[in-house]
Amino acid sequence: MIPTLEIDEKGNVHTLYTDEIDLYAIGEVCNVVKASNVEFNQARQEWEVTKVGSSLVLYSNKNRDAAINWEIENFGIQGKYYCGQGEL
Amino acid sequence: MSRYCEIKTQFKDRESLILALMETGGWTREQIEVHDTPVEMRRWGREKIAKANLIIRKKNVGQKTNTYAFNDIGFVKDENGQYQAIISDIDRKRSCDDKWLGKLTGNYAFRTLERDQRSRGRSVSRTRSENGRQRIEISGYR
Repeated sequence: MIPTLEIDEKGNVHTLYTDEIDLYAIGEVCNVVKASNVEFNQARQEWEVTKVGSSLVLYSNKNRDAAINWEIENFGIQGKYYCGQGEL
Repeated sequence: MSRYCEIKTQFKDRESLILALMETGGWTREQIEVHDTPVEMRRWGREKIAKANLIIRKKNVGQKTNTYAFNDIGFVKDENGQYQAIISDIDRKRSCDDKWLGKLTGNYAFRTLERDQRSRGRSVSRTRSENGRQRIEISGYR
């Protein structure tokens, strides 16, 4: 899954970092801040998604790819947990 | 783990810049002069003489908006491989103001992204909002 991108009024781009897009071709990558974590919970045998600074589990799945896709969808530009700079 | 990031857009790719100029200014490809070696721009009055690699002559600058331009506008490639805009102060107050430059920069970012993703076999769609922002979605990822 590739995250949605947003281009602001000044022409700068905001997104979740991904290697699937050549971000360096667009310009200088900056203001990189952690959004969320995906960690394996051995007791529950599941991959868990948490927001940075919180231990509350927002989503879990035995399939790591599913957990990562949920994370991208929900922490990305259009996501429920998006907390980047501004919204459309 | 995911990370937010911002990309400060820089004009690095000539073809993407030409496409963005065509889209933003409404110019045809033929109206954008391309020079491997910078050539002189036509400037008026006290404006400093300048050379550029990409030039839109003043007769075409305000064509779409019916705003007369006083000088050519151009883009010169610097030592870091980035194109820097050369727009006179008077034209920055008229046809090529900060809002226009923001739009050009955003369209450049989109064109660069579109070219990158198409080369990977993916398609790119764009939604514009009234506040000038653009939302980009990429499909075809496997």
